Order: sequence, then C-alpha cells, then structure tokens
Amino acid sequence: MKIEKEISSWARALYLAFEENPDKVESILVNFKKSLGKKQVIIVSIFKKLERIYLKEKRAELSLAQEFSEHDKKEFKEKIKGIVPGIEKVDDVLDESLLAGFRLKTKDVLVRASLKDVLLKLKNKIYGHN
Amino acid sequence: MSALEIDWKVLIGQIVNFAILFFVLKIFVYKPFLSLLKTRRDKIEEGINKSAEAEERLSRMEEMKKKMEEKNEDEKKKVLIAAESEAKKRIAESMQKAEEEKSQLLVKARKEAEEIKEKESEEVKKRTIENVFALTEKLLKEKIDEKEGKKIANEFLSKLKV
Repeated sequence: MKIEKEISSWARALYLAFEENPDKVESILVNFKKSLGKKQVIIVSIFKKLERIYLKEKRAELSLAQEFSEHDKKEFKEKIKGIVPGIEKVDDVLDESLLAGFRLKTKDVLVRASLKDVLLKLKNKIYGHN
Repeated sequence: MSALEIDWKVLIGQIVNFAILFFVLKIFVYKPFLSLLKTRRDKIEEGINKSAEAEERLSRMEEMKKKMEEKNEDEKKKVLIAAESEAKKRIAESMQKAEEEKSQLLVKARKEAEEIKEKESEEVKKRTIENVFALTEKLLKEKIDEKEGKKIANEFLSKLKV
C-alpha cells in the first residue's frame, strides 16, 4: 500500500514536470533516476502509472449523433484536437438520442454541441430554469 | 219570755258563726276563686291581644307579599327585557360571525379554485411543451440523415470556442 502510494506520487510528479517543462524531458528523467536511488525496481510501475495518468488527463470522449465513416471520424477528431487544447486521444461513441451534433467530455469540460442540447436549453428557458 | 223574743245569746252565736264562716270562705274559697278568674281573664285578654297582633302581622305580611310580588314582577320584566336584549345581541353577533365565516370561506374557495385553475393551466402548458418537444425530436430524428447530421456536427464544431 505504501509502495503504491509512492508510485502514484512519483508518477504524478513526473507528469507535472513533463507538462511544465516539455523541452527538458531528458534531464527530468536523469534526475528522476538519481532520486530513486536503490528503489529503481519500481520504475516500471511508475511509468505504467504515468501512462494511465497521461491517458486520463489527455483523453476525451466524443459522443456522435450519427455514425461517421472512419475517415470523417478521424478528420473530425483532428479538428477537435486543434480546437480543444491538451487532448491527445479521443474515444468515440454513438448516441442517437443527440439527434444531430456531438458532445465532448474531457477531464475538465463537457461540450454540449447537439440539437438535443439546443432543445433542452430552449425547454429550460421556457420553464424558466437556468 | 215569749217565743217571739230575741235570744241574744243565740244571735250573737249565729253572728260569730257567720263571721267565722265568712272569713273561712273568704280566705279559702273566694280568694283562690277570684285569683283563678283573674288569671283566666288575663289569659283571655292576652289571647285576644295576641290574636289582634297576629292579625296585624298577617296583614303586614300580606302587604309585604304584595309589594314583593310587585317588585318581583318588575324584576321579572327587567330580566326578561335584558334576556331579550342579550338574545338579540347574540343573534346579531352570531349572524355577523356567520357572515364573516362565509366571506372567508368564499375567499378561500375562490383562492383554491384559482390555484387549481393555475395548476391545471401549468400542467397543460407543461404537457404541451413536452409534447411539442417530443414531436420535434421525433421529426428531427426522421428528417436528419447522415449527411445532414455531419453538416450540423461540423457547424457546431466551427462555432466551438474553448
């Protein structure tokens, strides 16, 4: 349990260091190795954890109202990556209840860009809800 | 001495006898008898006096009774008048209270009716909105094909600002 906590802490620290200094990756890694000292046996676990953090932080879920072709989907995802910063991986799901458009869920934001959401917004406005 | 002569000795004896008898009767018969008569007369007089007094008392009592009856009659009338006045007052109060309660009930009933009406109106409005939106969703689902869907998605994306 204690080791797991240590692995998580190291992974989180590495992730933040890479994020803040993307051009100093090599020196960060050297320092990291030195800091670990005799505990280098856990280095693989730390990188696995780092990968999971990375995926969690940089992943986004895209819900589409219609089925797109693979080409269109890829193109659409690229556009999203270009607009929304910090997204590396986009997983897509089909949600026909959205009618048209999409929803994008990242770690920090939820983008509601569908006709269903437009209708919901309109309905809330009619009911006087915020 | 002839037979018609007065025998002084006998006469004196008779006189002495009579005097003794007189005194004896006076002391032992007349006096108690007169005393008895006097007592009886006093008692009769006392009885007569008491009877007169009783009659007078009776008369006074009857007079008093009459006065009291008159007084009672007056008081009775006064009580009746007061009771009648009180009853009228209470009836008026009750009627006023009933009128107020009626007004309150009417106001309450009107308010409730308005609330029900408003609630129903809201319910109808809500149902209409829900139906309109359900219908809109259904129509959109039917009308929007894959091509149109992509177009809309791209339009949303082009407007997206993060």
